[in-house]
Amino acid sequence: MIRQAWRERSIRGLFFLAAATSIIILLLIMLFLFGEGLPLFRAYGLWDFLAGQFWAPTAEPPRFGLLPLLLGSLWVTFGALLLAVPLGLGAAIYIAELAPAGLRELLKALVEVLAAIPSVVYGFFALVIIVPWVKASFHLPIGKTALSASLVLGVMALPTIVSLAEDALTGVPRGFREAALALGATKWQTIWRVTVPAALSGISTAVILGAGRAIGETMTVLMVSGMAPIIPHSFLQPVRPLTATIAAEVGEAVWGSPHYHALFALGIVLFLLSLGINLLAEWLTSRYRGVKV
Amino acid sequence: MGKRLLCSILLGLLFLGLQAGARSPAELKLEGSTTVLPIAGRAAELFQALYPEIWVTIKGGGSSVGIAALINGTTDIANASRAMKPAELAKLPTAVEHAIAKDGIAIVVHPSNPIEGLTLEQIAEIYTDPSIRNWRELGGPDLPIVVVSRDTTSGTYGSFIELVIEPVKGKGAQLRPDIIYVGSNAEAVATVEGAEGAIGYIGLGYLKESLRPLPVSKGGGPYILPTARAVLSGSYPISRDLYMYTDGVPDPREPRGLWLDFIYSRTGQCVVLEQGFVAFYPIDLAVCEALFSALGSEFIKR
Repeated sequence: MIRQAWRERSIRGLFFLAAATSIIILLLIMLFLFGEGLPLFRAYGLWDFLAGQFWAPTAEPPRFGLLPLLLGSLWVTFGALLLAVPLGLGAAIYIAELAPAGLRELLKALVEVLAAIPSVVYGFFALVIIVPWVKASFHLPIGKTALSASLVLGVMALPTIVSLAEDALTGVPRGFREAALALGATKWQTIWRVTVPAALSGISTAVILGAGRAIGETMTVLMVSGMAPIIPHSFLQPVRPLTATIAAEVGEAVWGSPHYHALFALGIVLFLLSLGINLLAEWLTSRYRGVKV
Repeated sequence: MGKRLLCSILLGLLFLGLQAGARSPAELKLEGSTTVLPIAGRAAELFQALYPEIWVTIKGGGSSVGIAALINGTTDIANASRAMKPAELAKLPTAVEHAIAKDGIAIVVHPSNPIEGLTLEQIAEIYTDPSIRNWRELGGPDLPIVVVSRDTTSGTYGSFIELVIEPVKGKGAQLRPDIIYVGSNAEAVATVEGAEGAIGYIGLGYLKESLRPLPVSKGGGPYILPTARAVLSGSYPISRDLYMYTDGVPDPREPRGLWLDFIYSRTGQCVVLEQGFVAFYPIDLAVCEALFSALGSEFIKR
């Protein structure tokens, strides 16, 4: 008896340890991120960082303005959503509501394949195909623009949006559809007035996590965004997103220098952004569960 | 971080494991500039074939890191793409400078751009003043300018700043914000090739027919094309020496002396050529091929 209880408890402890590990790792990462990022503000004003319009880490004195990088990230993400939301939602509705069963499974599998392509391959593809195409189509001096980055990021965000939105749509109880059809609604009316609104919080979660995928992407934007640290005014100009800036500069920023701390401060901003996105998605999902009952 | 890891290469371990059983192997440590790294790495491969009993390790990290390691006594040779600063020399007065190769930075434009040449001052203006938007303002065609630069972590970026921006604009000048940044010499080439209005800079070894190198003038002097000869004579304004530093003059029989003799030999200078830099004396490429194959390797022409 006692032996069995002990065994129960030790197994319980083991699983608790497994669950705790990820939390401990998260805490350690946060501790490290803040520990390395916050020292920037001993030498450099917080406001100069948050509202600074120039990113010139090697100038004398250096300037670590967050605005061009943050806006660059948000701008390409916004552009990506403009492409991925209508396309992803359309695909999800087709897969969940309209496609015949065999085609549905095939489509779902193919969309998942999009997620399996490494980002450097996306970047290379964009560099060779999309960048010259954007340059020629818009008669630009150079094709490395926010638009090129947005187009690839949109495709990369598709699998997230399609599979989550499709799950949300499939989760809408059959009774909803049957009731609508019984009332004489057409298929289109049922989808647009009943199914989609019922799945709306799940769909919003899909869009938000898709945005999270786009904002955290590094390699692709490093290759095609042009990396010019200017505050974006249009999609036809180059931008320098947060992630790509860290990747490009961390290699030789002197350890312990203001530049080094500034890159970690960018990391903090990125961390808070992703945290916000995930909390929002979590909140929406919990609301969605309420609707489903 | 990843870069530094990549740059730290361990060479020749296998060779030695087999052959040095009886003798205790001598060690030779090099550390420093990532610009010099490809020369040192390739030279070590060939050096190892000549002197299997010497154990060569090479690390990157940058010129400052290498020089600091020499001062701290943790490396035998510091690779540097710049001369030691007076403050560094004060910490190690016995440091000896060995210039091992010449490096030149070519200013390149799209081949369709008819502009004849630029002065150092004009280049510095183009890279710092965002109000310059069209080649017309520099006496060229009516074409928007696309300014291309290497990332701030690159050694070529460092020398471009030191050799072009600082002499004109002073130390710490801020580059214009709308520069297109690229991650490698090859990417710089691809970007300038693909944009009619582009201007960029690359190491001399990366020049291709698809790009037009511009003649450059300094201080009202003549316009000089970036050729190996002009870099060697110092008449081309954007050029520099690459160095290996030792603590004291090395004895020619010890590993450091053998290494430096090898670098100055024809084989060593062929490595310099092969890696895209300028050798100190003219060598025929056929000679390089013969020398390399004698050491069981192949000279790669670009």
